[in-house]
Amino acid sequence: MERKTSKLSRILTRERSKILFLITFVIPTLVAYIFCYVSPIFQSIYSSFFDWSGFGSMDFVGWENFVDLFKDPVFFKAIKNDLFYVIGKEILIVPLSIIFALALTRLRLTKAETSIYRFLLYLPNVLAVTIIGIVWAFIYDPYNGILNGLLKMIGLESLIPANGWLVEHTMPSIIFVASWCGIGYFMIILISAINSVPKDLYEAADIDGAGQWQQLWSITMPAIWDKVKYVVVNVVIGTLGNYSLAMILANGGVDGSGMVMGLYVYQYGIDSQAPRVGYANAAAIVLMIISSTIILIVNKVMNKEED
Amino acid sequence: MRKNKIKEALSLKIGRGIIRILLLAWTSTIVFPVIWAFYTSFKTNKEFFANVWALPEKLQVENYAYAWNIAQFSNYFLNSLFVVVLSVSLTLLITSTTSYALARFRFRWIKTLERFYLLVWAIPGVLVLVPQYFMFLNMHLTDKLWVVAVLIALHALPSNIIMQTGFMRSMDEALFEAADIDGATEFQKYYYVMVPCVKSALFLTALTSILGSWNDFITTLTYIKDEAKYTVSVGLSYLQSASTYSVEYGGLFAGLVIAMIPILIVYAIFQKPLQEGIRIDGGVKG
Repeated sequence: MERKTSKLSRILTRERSKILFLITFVIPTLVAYIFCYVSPIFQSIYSSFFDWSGFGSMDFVGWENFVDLFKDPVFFKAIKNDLFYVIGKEILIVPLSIIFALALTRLRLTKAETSIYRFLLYLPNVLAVTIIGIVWAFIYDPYNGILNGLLKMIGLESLIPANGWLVEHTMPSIIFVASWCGIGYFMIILISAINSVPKDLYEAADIDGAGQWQQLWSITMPAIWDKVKYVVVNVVIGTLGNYSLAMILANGGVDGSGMVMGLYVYQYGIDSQAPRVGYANAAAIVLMIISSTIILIVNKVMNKEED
Repeated sequence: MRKNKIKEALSLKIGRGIIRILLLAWTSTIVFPVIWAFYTSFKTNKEFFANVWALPEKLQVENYAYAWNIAQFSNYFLNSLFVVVLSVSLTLLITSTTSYALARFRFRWIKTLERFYLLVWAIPGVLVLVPQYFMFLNMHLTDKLWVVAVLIALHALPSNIIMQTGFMRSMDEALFEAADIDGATEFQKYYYVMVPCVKSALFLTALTSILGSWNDFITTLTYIKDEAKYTVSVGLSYLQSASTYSVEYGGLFAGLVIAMIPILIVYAIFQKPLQEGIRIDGGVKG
């Protein structure tokens, strides 16, 4: 009997210590997270029906913010540019990260080459977006930028846009830099996928006399296909609503030529002398609906292929 | 058959050559800007405008003095350091404790909590940014670096928790049973059993957290309006926009190099675990 109670009390103390642990760490963390990152969402939805500067009185305006939003051509440009942003990044990142990953694994370059390229290709991922933005702004500079200098040197002066890359080809210029930053991360994911393919598959293929191309298409690609899909989906997720690079490089461009959805929200809600918080929140909600729809569609399409 | 082999070897050689050129060309777009920024930081303004490509004639070390003192980079640097230290420590504490509970406790709603963190992970930051800013503004909590550090730590919480919980779940049950027999509390089991076991995963979280908080731009830009409280990353963009009026390019690039060096050092030393971490991370998310 005594043993039983002591066992029971031990279990009770154990439960008590769990609850104490939850109260000390887990609950405060959760409360802080909900306060900082979840409660603003409700505020966002609520205030999107008001005319509000962020302070003082809120005037109920119904759907007016949303109606205004769809009257603004710049907002449509922002949506269009975001889609263009995603597609452009996919076109550059997906093939290049596959090629680089294959090159650093299957191509059997020297060890030194492999480790140097691995180091360098991932480097842009760890640099601050401000550093990248400033350096590339100088590369694209219309007066003494490196890119124009390079084009002059190889006799392609005709390609130089008169008003500068970031003015005339705003989105493509941004897309290139964004892809330049992103490739390393996805390449590393693909490299580890390739490295996890069992070596004896290749050995067996060698014995059967299958060439390198054949091995690529019938062993490597099928084995990493899941991770390629992961790359496609994650480029979409990482791009929609992202605006830091677009802001630093062009800050919206001319007439919204470089406007992306996130930047639109930021400019109306925060980066303004007279913020229109309700309006910015309405834009953020529309943005979220559009981007989650796109992400869902892309996810669906990518997973349908599997069956 | 033999002919085929030769043909194959030849095409492989050509293929390898083409890929080598592509790799070289692509990485030169990475190496060159970094080197260019580095040597430009030693040029005078005059030299900069005479030829942006050219090497400096004499190393203008004064540019660094200008960036460090006049352009306040010493200040920005300390601010960044403060944000990094606070946000990394906070990240380690809140991530490891919540993950510990998610991995070890058997309460019914623990699963719900895990699902909650999975769900909020998908919320785009821009939906939250504006109302969150005004919430903090109305509480007079803007222009405070600790707020920025807390927000950065909380923002990365869901993804960190999901990675960390996976790690902690894979730990050997026997370790904890032994601690149970000794009558250890959850605090003791967390600190003396779990933390030492998942050190490598915690280290990884710390690394990504260092990079994330040092490089943060949007949160600091939004919450910090007082120039004296800028971090390196925001100070740099401020210096750039200011340099359209009073041009001091050598100083700007010196500031850029100052911002870049800590990251380059961290990256050079910890490249392996960092890239290994992406593999794990990618494994979880994929």
